[in-house]
Amino acid sequence: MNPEDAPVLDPLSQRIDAALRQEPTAPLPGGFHGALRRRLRIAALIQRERRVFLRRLLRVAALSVLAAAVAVSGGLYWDMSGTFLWEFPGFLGYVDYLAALTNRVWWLSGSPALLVSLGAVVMTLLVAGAFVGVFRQPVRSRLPFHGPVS
Amino acid sequence: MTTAATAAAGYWPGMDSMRATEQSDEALVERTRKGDTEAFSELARRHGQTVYNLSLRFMRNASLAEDMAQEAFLKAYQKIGKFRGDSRFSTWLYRIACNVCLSELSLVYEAGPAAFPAAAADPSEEAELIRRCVAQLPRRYAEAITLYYLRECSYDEVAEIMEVPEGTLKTWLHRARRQLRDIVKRELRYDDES
Repeated sequence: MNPEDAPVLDPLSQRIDAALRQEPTAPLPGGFHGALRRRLRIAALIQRERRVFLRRLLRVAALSVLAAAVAVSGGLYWDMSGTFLWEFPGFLGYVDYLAALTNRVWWLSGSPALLVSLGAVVMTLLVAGAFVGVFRQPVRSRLPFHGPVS
Repeated sequence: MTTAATAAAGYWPGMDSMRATEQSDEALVERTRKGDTEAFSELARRHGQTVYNLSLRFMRNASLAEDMAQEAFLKAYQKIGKFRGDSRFSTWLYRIACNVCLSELSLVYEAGPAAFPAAAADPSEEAELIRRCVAQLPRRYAEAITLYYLRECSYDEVAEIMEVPEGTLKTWLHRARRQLRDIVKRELRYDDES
């Protein structure tokens, strides 16, 4: 501190200044660094898991949007008389069921109902497939270990 | 390649085996950003004692200070990507430690400050009482006083940590000392005429 900046102190202020200035430096508690390392490892794992989860979530969201776009485009392009759908037993019945359900919503009744129901089926299959893909591999097998966690 | 050429290319023999203890804070920060927790552990070893003592001066309790110091390092680790490098790492770290401690103290004082004991006859007790009075100051004054007296830092070092101009810091310190004097006078029941 510059001596020229040193304020002129009354007795109480001198005592205050002395008390603050002469406080001893305490040593670091034993075990501080060990405990901190453990917490850092956990924090690093949490951060990594968050990044991985976010990437996968974005991937699933992108696939879902793509599936919806494909379903709508396909429905609009192809004749929806059901030519190729006859190949899947029970599939048409499920589509009809969804169409009937959707028709009950007044603003979806009519031809959009069929597109919505078909799109919902395709999206369901794709999202289910994405979940299987996401959780197929155990998470632990993907973690890099930098030595044992103490 | 010649030694000069490899050095110019940013490589020198033994670089890969250079121990963390020989690297600068900035280099360790870069390694931490890439996920190297050992590099951050080395940073914690270098600055641990100062951060702990800073926390101790705010919290006035050894176990709380240890918790706050660890919390400060964890926050620094989580926010390492936001460290821009326009100040020293230690400056940035001490700023985080101050924020952590002062946030915790504001929660404590929301619940009502503990009653201070009557004036102490023992000088060492008096010194500790005076130090505890710092926590009753407004946040920025408590921070300025604590940082100033922690390592006999210069005004520009403290101003850099607090991100204020030096003139502002001097004003704050002057006001902090004046307020602290009033608080100590009240708590110790100090008589100016004695």
